[in-house]
Amino acid sequence: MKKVMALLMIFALSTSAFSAEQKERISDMKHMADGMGLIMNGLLYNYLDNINAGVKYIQEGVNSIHKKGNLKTYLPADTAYAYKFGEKSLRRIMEYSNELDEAMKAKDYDGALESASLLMRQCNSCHSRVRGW
Amino acid sequence: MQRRDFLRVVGTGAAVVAVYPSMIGQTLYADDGQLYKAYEKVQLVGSDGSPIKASTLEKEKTYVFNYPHVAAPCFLINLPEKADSEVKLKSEDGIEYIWSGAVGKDSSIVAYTAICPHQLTHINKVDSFISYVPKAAKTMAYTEGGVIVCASHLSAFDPKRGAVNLSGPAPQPLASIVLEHAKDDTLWAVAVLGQDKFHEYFKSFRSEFKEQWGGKRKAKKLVSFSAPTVVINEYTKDVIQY
Repeated sequence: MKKVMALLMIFALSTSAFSAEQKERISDMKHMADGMGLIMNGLLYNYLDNINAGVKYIQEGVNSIHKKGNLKTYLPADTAYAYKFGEKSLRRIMEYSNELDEAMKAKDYDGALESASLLMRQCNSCHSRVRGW
Repeated sequence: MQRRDFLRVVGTGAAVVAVYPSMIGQTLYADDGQLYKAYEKVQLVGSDGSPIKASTLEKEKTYVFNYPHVAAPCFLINLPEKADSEVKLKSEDGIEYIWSGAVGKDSSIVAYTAICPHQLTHINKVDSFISYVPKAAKTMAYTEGGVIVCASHLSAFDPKRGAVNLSGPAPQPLASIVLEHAKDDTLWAVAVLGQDKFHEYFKSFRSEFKEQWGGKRKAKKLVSFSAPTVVINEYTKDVIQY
């Protein structure tokens, strides 16, 4: 009976640990998606504050993922092997968001639109790999 | 100049271009669907500047050089067996063209742009998510080795058949680099065949070009005279294969 209880305890703990990781991932992704939404909204309505806020959200999301440390355990188990691809995606997202920020500061709105498109493409690139679209 | 002399000059020029297409530097879209862009003819050389000899290339070892732009990476591979010839390929927008085959004594030396046509994954000085997987090795992207694999989204290309896209999301073959194998066993890059992605590539990686090449303008400069050619592990720090 004790063995059964121990096994159940281990199962429950591992399940809750998995859920915690999944929750963190969802939270980070939602934060970044909100940022992307703000950027798109800002570009469509010429509302610069939203673009700046969107860049901030996205970079906060990237930093939050970096703080977790190991991308291997952060990614879903079946795509954990592709952690180097994930790391590269994060680097690119940071680059494109910095370029967007620089373009906004330079009032280069065409450049900002282009950086926003590249940013979106990079998000989708990672999602299509990790989620298996 | 007399009319006869003028015609002689024009006739000779046309004959030279017909024999050496690398003499002209413009895009040729022939009615039969051929897609071919000639650039300056450059010699492939080692890192010490000495010419690369085709017979010294190790089988299945991946070499990298830049062509036609300073930051446009290309693979040079001596395949384990003779490549096919006169392979009919189709670009993303439906243009058909013919890949004539490999060069070298065994018709096994091929060169392709190392830029995936799907989302522009490419070799850079930091890492490479696109590379040749030797025949005996395994890959998640295809049922067997002997293919070029883009590890980003698992597209596979057949280097024996003009880098035709075999599997994965890549919408067209890798653009190939047209090589000339001279009588003295040296190798020369003369043109790009197929639909390249240079325009999108140079628009997409500004930060990388700034960091690794001193800016987009320098990265986009055309290669002249010679192209240093090194093994992939000397070109990049990390080769990622899945």
